[in-house]
Amino acid sequence: MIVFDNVHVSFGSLDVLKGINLEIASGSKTVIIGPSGSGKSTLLRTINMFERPKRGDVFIDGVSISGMNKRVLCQARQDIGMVFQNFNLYPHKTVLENLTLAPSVLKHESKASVRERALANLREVNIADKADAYPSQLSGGQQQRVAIARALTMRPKIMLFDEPTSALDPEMIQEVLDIMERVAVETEITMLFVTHEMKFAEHIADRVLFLDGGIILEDGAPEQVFHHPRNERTTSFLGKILH
Amino acid sequence: MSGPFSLHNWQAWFSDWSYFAGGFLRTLYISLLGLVFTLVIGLVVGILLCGKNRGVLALCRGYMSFFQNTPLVIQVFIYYNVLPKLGIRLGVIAIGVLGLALYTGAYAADIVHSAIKAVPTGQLEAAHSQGFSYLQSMIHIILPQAIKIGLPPMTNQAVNLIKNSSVLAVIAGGELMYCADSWSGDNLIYGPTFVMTGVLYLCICLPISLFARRMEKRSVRNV
Repeated sequence: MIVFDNVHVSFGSLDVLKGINLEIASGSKTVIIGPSGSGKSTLLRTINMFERPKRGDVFIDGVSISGMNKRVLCQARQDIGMVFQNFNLYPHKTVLENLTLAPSVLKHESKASVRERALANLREVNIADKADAYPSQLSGGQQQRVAIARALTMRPKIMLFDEPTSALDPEMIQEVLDIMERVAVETEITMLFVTHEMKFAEHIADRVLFLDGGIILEDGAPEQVFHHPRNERTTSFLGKILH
Repeated sequence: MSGPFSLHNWQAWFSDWSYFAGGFLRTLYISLLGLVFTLVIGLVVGILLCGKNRGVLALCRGYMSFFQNTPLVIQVFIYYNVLPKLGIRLGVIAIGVLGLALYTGAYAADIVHSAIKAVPTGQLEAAHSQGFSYLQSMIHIILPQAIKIGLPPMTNQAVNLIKNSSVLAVIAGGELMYCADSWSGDNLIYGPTFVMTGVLYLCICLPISLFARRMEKRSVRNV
């Protein structure tokens, strides 16, 4: 379980998160929506301490993550996969090496077992035939599928998706959404998505958060948030984005 | 033909070629050792420059400012004349290696720093998100990419280092330029001596320059 306890995050004088209180159940699929600059990505990045709270704390399975020293934080991050908007694959490594590097270096797993798992994950995201290719030889959609497989190969307990389709050409978005949906359905990993893909959000999420101005304005099941929003701001945002 | 380039002068130079071969080998030896220490200094200072510790940053900047803004010949002169007064006695080769490494290392640090900064920040984030520490991220993800970016300018610095080794002639370094200087003074034969010395430097530096150019073209192609 991930718990946000009165989390405040600021960039200089700009308060981005203003006292977030939130509990996210293990294995749940949570989608965070909201306008640009509302603090969605910051909320996600606070979970792996890419952004540190100015006040408050984040707990994962009861352990404060902001209080960890660097070594323990690195270990904790091994259980928190992240998929970025710009993929961030390692360009000097092949697709397969992108998947096997961290498990073999950080978890000291045998090359054979990591390779087997990596190939299985590449098959899962339908890109096993590109195992020996370099990221520059792949399309954006293919790179993002590799990034998902890379995160999965670490066997994370939590996966964070930070606008994974925002940098993709329109015709490549669906292939990534399909893969994310499949992974979400097939695994017990706790997943948090920041996305503007509302249909995907409605379909996949068991909980939707609407964030604006660093505050959670709406928190509920997809059916409730998308069709019966309680907050006027949510209604206005959804009205603009769905029509 | 008479004058500085007379046949007699050329014959005299070629009859003593082994003296110059010794200097040539010594230049290679000093340059190679200097280059190894330059890379170590460049790597360490370049990585430290990417950190946030103000004291360390000031120290690195101070080192670079001093060594980039004073002539190498003066630095070498100081090592040769001042260090013994402080009880530190070094041979001319050690002084040569130290001088070249500290001087070129200041430029190499700039190259390493710029090359690391040229790697997109998302790479370090991706590495951290997987659980790599800063050092592990540097070793496995950032430096391999930075090396590709920094290799062409670093090769140019290697060429500069080799040419700058000629400065050691002022402290009787025994390298190629010292051989040229002392032999030409003894025999009063300057023309062939400095032409051939130039050719010998060219023999070392030209292949490295061509390699740098090839690397540069390749990295442009890969962008």
